[in-house]
Amino acid sequence: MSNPGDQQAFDRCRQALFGASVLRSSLSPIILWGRARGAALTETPLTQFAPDVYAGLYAPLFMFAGTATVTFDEDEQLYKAVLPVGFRNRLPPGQFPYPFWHDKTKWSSYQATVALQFFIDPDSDLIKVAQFVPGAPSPTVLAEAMEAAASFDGHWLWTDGNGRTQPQVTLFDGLYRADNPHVAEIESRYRALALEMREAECDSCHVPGNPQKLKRLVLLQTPAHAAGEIRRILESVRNGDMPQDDTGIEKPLPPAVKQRLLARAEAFEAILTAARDWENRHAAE
Amino acid sequence: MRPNEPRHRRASGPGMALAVVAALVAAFGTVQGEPLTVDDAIKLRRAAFALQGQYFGQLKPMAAGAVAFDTRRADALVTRVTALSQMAAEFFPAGSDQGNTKASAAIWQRPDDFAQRERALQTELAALARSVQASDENAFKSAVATTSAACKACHEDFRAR
Ligand code: HEC
Repeated sequence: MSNPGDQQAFDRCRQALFGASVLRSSLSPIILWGRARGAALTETPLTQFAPDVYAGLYAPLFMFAGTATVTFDEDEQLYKAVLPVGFRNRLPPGQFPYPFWHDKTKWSSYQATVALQFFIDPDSDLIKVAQFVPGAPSPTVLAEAMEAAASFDGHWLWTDGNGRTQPQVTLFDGLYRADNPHVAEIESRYRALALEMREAECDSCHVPGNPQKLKRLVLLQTPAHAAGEIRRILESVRNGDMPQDDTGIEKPLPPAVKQRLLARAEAFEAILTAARDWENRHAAE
Repeated sequence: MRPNEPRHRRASGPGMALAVVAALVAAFGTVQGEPLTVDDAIKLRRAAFALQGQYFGQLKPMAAGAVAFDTRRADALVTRVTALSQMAAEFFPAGSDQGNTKASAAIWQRPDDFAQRERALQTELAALARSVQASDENAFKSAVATTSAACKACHEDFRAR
């Protein structure tokens, strides 16, 4: 395994996984991700991702040892593949999809990861659930996690000392080509959408801290996360399924707010499509 | 509902709720003595859920401090929500995941889990009622939050979208 702060190894890994990789094509259209807690999957809180987001932003954070064991999990009725890994805990902050260190338990568990486990549906052969399996964190890791959690300022997107928006990985940096002319506008259109999502109070639920303790968390707090969910954002808002109130019932938006939110979401979707199309056209170059 | 409480007095806000009561009574009228059809059961439980939402929705601004904590009103609201939630739970006959409903098939696949969610809600509502009777505003606020969470826990598992 390489060094946990090796940026080049990380970049190679995520470009390989984000592209037409075996991993990506093995992911079901919705992949659930989270910490293994030794409980049934239905009783385990998990976050829902589109395959692009998982393959481009999450899976590459681990260094794979290159071995795997596969068994059939009778309780889940799913195949379980266990792959020994190490976690790239020494990358710069903007290389993580969001500051995992906002929560000291989360950050120390990530750092102590010894394996990933993938649950594979025997009918479709697709991975439905992926989990990281933490070993026991060392006292040093725990102390550092505590310190990091205390320094987290509550921002999921921030501007670094060079005036650059972070986490840069959520702006498709390194996933799309540097000369893709649409990438800059992904950020500005996301920001316009984010303002409307704030107005509609989507961020009272759909953020990493999971304030409402959703069992299946959907993240919308960065361009890449929202991009993965854009079709479902449009559909759920159009149908009036979102937002909900804190009892889990639909909470209708004022018509003007709904209209603006949908317009911004459509504009965001259009630029995502343009960027992806450009990328496909220029892939061969 | 207290029988001697003048119903029309509060008709302005929950006007919709009263209309639903009327629909509920009408629906009962048509099925008296006969076994309920699945469609009737769905109609009745949806009416009960709509009313619960309406009444519980009036407790939330009180818990948020947007409206003064009024123990008499809160007591009436909690009594109604409790009764309505018990009524709703009685209208989940087998097969009633089909029709004009968001009830998930999981209700009939995992009936024990569903019943457990219902009991959890009743426990929260009992605590909510005690907080109101004790005029304990802090306990009331946290009980409204934990009751909301009990609603949501069940909706997450058993309400399809
Ligand atoms: C009170 C909490 C809450 C708020 C506020 C909220 N949501 Fe959700 N959202 C949920 C829950 C719970 C789910 C998961 C529902 C499920 O899977 O049954 C969800 C699921 C979603 C999904 C995934 C849907 C799918 O098909 O998988 C999207 C997209 C979404 N929400 C978007 C939004 C948007 C956009 C807003 C703001 C307009 C919003 N939500 C506001 C609680 C909330």
